[in-house]
Order: sequence, then C-alpha cells, then structure tokens
Amino acid sequence: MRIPAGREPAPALRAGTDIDVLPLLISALALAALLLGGFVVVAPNRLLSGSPLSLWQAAGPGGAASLLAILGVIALLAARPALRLQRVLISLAAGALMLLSLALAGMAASEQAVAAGRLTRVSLGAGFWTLFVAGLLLLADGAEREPRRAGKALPLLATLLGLAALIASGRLAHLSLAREYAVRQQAYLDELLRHLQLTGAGLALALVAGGAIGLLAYRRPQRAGPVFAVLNIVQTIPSLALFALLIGPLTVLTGLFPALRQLGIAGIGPFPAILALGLYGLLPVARGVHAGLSAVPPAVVEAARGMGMTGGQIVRHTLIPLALPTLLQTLRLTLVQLIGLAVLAALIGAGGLGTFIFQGLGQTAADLVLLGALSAIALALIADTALRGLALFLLRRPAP
Amino acid sequence: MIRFEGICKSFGGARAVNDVTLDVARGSLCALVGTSGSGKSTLLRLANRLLEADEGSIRFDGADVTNIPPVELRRRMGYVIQSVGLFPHWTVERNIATVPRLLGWPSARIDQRVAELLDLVGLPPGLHARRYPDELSGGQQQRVGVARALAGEPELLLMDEPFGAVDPPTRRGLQDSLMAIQKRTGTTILLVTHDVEEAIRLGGTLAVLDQGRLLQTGTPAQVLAQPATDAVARFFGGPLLGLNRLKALRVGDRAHAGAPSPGEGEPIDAEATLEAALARMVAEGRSRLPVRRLANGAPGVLDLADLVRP
Repeated sequence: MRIPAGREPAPALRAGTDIDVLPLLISALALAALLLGGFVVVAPNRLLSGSPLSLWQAAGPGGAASLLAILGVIALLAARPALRLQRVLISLAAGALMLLSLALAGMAASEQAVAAGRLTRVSLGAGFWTLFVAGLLLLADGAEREPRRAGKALPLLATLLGLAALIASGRLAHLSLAREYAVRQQAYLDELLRHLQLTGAGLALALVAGGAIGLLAYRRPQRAGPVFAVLNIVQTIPSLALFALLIGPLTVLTGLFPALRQLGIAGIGPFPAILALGLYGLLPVARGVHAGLSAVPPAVVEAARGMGMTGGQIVRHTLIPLALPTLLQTLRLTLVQLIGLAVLAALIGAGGLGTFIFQGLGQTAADLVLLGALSAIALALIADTALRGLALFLLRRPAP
Repeated sequence: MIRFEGICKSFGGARAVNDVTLDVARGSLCALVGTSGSGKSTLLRLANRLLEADEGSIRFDGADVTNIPPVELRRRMGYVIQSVGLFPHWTVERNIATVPRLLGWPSARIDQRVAELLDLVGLPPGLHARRYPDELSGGQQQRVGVARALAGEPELLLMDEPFGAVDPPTRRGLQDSLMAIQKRTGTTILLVTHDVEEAIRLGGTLAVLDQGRLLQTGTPAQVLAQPATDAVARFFGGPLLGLNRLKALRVGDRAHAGAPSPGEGEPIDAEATLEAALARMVAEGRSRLPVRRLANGAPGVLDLADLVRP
C-alpha cells in the first residue's frame, strides 16, 4: 500500500522568507499618530493646559522629513528578510527614531522659550509619545528575536549612549519635564535613592523569607499546599490596602512596646513600606524557588546523594545550577514588580519616586507626575534588561 | 566484601526487608532478583545508607557501616540507577570526574582516570569527553553512568536495575561490557534486577527475594536446577523454567568427548549456552553438534539427549 505524501507547506509560510509584519505595523501606526496628534503641547505656564503643535509646526519641514525618512527605512528593512543584519539594523533605526524625536521636541521647546518667554511650558504630546514608544517596542522586539548576543546588546547600548549624550548636551533643558527636574534636582536624587533603597530592602526581605518558604515547600511537599494558600491570600490584598493595613497594627505595636521605635519601627514611614513590599514579593519568590527546585530531576539528586555528595554539595552542584533559569526569572519578575509597587510607598510617608507623582497630582502639574512615573518605568526597564543580560551570561553553555 | 546480617526494614508498618542474611564475596557479581516490591532495591539502598536498617547489621570490608560516615561510605561504593541521573549541566568528563573531585584527587590523575574509564566502557574519549548528556543515546548515557560510578575506584559497585530503561540489543551490549569490566577490574558488584535473563547472564550468584524474605542463594545453575520454593520456580518461568535453565548452563557443562563426523556443521563454542546450542539444533534440524574444544582441550560433541540429562 502506498502512503500518500504529505503536502509541502506553502512557500510564503516557510520560516525566514516572509516579510516581518511587526515593524511594518508599528511604523505605520507611528506614522498615522504623527499625522493626527500633536507632537508637542505648548502652554502659557506650568498649570494651564496648552494647545498642540503638529510635527510640521514644531520641527519644521527638515525635522519632519527626517523622522518620516527613518520610518521609511524601518519599513524597507522589514520587507527585506534575507538581509543578514536585518534585526540589528531595524533596532538601530528604532533607536535613532527615539533619539531624533526627543531632540526635535527639545529644539521646539528652546524655540518657544525664546519666542514666548520663560513661563511658557512645552510638554511632550501624543504624537511624540507614539513615536517614542514605537521605537521602544521595536528595540524590545529586536532584542528578543535577534539570536546573537552582540546583536541584542549593541542597539540598546547605542541608544542609551545617544540618550546620555543628548541629555548632557542641554538640548532637552527647555522641555517642561526637564524644568520640573531642574527645580528639584537634589530632591529628585534623594527620592530616587530612597526608591532604590525601599525596593532593595523589600526585595532582600522577599528573597530571604520567600526563599526559605520555597525551600521548605520543596523539602516537605505535604506542607506546600497550605503554605501557598496563605501566600495567595496575601497576594490578593490590593496593594494600596496592604500599605494601609499595616499602619494600624504597627502603631498599636509601637504603642505597646515604645522601645521598638528606637529600631525604626513605626506605623508610617519606611518600615511598613519595606514590610509591605517584602510581603508582596513573598509569593512570587516562594513559588519561583519551589518551582525551580521541583524541576530538578529527582534522579539527579538521588545520584548525587548516592555518590557521596554532602547536603551542601548537592545544593551547590545540582539544585542551584539546575534551578538557575527559574531562579533568575523569579528575581527579575519580583524586582520589576517591586520597583512599580514602591511608588505607593510615598502614600505612607516613606518617600521614593511616588512622591513626585502624588505631588504632581495634587498640583495638577502633569509633567511632575510624568517625572516620577517615567523614572519608575525607566528603573523597571533597566532592571529587567540588566537581569535578562545577566541570565544570558550565566546560562550560556560553555563552548566545548 | 559486604555482609548483611538479620536485616529488617519497615516503611510505615509494612516490612520491606525481613530478616535477610547475605554474604557477597569479594570480586563476585551478586544479582538480587525478585518481583516488584520484593525488597531488593531497599536492600541495596541500605548498603550505602541511603536508608538505615531497623534491625541487623551490615559489615562492609569487615567494618560496621554505621561506624562509617555515610558520605565517606558512598564514595567508597559506586552507585548506578536505572534513570542514570547524569548531571545535565556538566560534560561527560565532568560527570565522570564527580567522585574523584569529591575525593580531592590531583587534576592530572583525574584526567587520566576519565580517559581510562571512557575507554573501559567503550566510548572513545576524543568523541565523547566534551559532550553533554543530552547529546548521547540512552545506552551511551548509561555507559557514562557506569564510568562515573567506577571513577573513584570503588571497592563495591551498587547497581539498581541499571539496564532496565534501554532496548534489548543495547541492554545485551551493556551487559557484555559490564562482564568485561568486572573481569578486568575485579570490582565486587551487587546488582538489582527483575529481568530473569539478565540475572542468569550476569549473576555469578543469585539472591532471590520475595516479600522481603531471602528465599534462596546460589549460582544460576543451582537455583534453576533446584528452586527452593514455588515462588522461586514461578519467578524463573514456572512451566518454562526448564528453558531458562538452558540459559544458565554452558555447552562445556554437558558435552562429552567424541570425534565429530563430517557433515555435522560448524562446531559450537564450549562457552556458548545450551539455549544457543538448542536454537542451532532446531534451526539446522540436527540432534548433534560438534564442540570446538572441551576444558581438557579435546574436541567433543553435544547430543540433544545431553540437554535433558539430569
């Protein structure tokens, strides 16, 4: 009997030969938003709302043309899948798109400052943000899909260097965002440091306690169920509520034992913030540690024990290296989550980048809100990228 | 080499091993056989103190094992399990070097030992040393598992159904290698298996276990000629026990002196099993085979009637 041969896949569906749709789509969206929305927004002063300026008005024909040209280049590159450095080139173009939009917005702000006076505020508009986020998405997509490590890192580093150079050159100094920063430089640095301290302390707490719980759940599987049930309940408390919930008990506690105040324990301030962040990190860390250890083949542990490894050697030589991919992922996800959550710490008087967000909300100063929010987002992105890089470095298989 | 004396071990009230006394002589290969749940794996894991006995004592090279720290004891015994358990993040050579590194050997001696062992288990070092376990076939992985267990020059090799997970031809190849290795190194081997053929092929001594009790010990020929209980007879094939007995006996055990006459076909080796001889007789339609050389060096013959001689 003859077995009918399977059909060949249609040529267009073969991997590596089709047009890359995502960059095309993103650049088309960027183009549309650019033509419709305002590139920057000009307001008479810090608190009044302003009116949008189109890219054409804000950047002039030359600036507009160069941005459109970059979008065109990205579209062209996306249609050339056979090109060897396709992804790297798209990522570099995306970085250029981000930097050029920022530079054009900065120049527009300088012109307005000269033309309309010091009180005038130039904020970044919807058109700018669409372009900037489109560039960011393309960069992230490129880093995810580019197979070579140098190809992943190069466009990111080039863009970061360009950004640093742009800021150092002072071309962005007249943007409203930069002016919000300029008037509170020292406070900004203090709160940024405080944000990092809160996140770091919360993460350390989550790693130690969550790690111990994950290890216990791995060693005593019959206890894993109840332990994770309790942690799940902690996780379902809304984050803002958790910060608030700690105020009561801690205040009562320090009322009963005033000596605790000497140790920095109080109902408001950094202590409850760190405690809340640690509690939030507990479940992801415990789950990650448990999942990572459980994924180590039991036969490997059995063999290690049977060959005479001590408990410590089993952990060092088998459990940790084999659980490492999951452990690094856990670390990354928890850190990013805590950087975001630490914004809420400002609400209970612990400071951090949230301070600017809540001040800005109070003053209806959108750019002050943006200063805090953008900084938190940037921190999260940097932490995420750095830990991804670390994972790539640690998990590479040594060449034979 | 290792002596179990009055060993009992229970798990939650159920007796897994019940009053077992067994002596494994230095340089021998003892196969612990029995059905699932007979206690054979438990007995093996008591030897290197992965489990501790409830009653009785185990003496290893004359010393009570409870007087030797478990980690030290295990490094003096090789350990091979069915699922191999190679370290997936280490190369083949790093895997084999595990125990020597734990013992703190100098690196030159480790390198030499690794190359020697790869050769011993039939893996060319140049091809395999730098590869990772997931790049090897199941049979190659178990060869590495055996090499790793032998690396620390153990006095005793413990093997828990080592070839249970590989296909039959590969299994026979691994069994042949194991016998050759034992001949060369003289290591004492205690091996757990539920595979009757494997037990008969490998076991210099069989120790038959059933429901935690040791029913019989002896050479395969002895056990199959006179099974001590019905349970032993059932394990070795029940009504087909006689056929398995042919696997345990060699042509040389039954052949008699005599000059082969022409036209009797290729002579058979005196080391071949009677099963192989019977297979040839059936296939070639003969009731007599010439034998290449008997123990005294003379040629001989094997008759069909020799197979059924008591």
